[in-house]
Amino acid sequence: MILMAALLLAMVAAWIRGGRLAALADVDLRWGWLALLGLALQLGVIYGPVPTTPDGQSAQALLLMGSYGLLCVFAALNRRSPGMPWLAAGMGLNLLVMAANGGFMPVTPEVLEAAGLGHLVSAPLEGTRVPMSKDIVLAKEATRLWWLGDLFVLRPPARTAFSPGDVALALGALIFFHQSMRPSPANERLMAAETEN
Amino acid sequence: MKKAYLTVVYVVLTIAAMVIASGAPLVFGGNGGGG
Repeated sequence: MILMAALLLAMVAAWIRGGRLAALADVDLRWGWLALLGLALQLGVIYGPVPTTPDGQSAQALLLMGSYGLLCVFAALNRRSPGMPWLAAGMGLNLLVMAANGGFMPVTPEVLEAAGLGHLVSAPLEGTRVPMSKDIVLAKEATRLWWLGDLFVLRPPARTAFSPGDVALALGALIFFHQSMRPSPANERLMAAETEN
Repeated sequence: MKKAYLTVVYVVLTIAAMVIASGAPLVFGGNGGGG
């Protein structure tokens, strides 16, 4: 939800600064289906039932890591697109901390409680998956690269926690829409000519 | 005109998919409900 809000804000901010949605027609994004497929793979893991066996959990972690593989290829193919270095950095930071912690995003029981989401897990035990997320509950001392995990908290009513990687992603979205929605000089001339006629 | 419209939709959906799939906020698509 918070990333969707960031996307929407990025588009509105670009529009307020004079950007136009129509200018996005000039953006050349290659192999976009990789990003869409990556998201589709993840939705099954996130909204599917939380597995109770270690094998089920490993399979889900593998799927998540595989989806990030697709996103890496997409980012590499479109590395010259506006904001893509920030998007790739955000993805890389999240991938790094998830890979270091068994394929899931670590969150501490304290952060879970502070965000008002303690009710999502029956008991915030080590290694408990948090439903409707990529998160796993881990104590800070048991977390590798804890400073890249979900540590920034928005308290109720927002009820969320996010990672430094998520911040980089939001910034990347802001840069992408700001630069891509700016009409090109050729389009501006065309629009000016149309207005005159 | 129609092609340009479809390209805009494609670009928005693709970047949205990239951002959402790359991110890992706590509780992915909601606010965790009440309680």
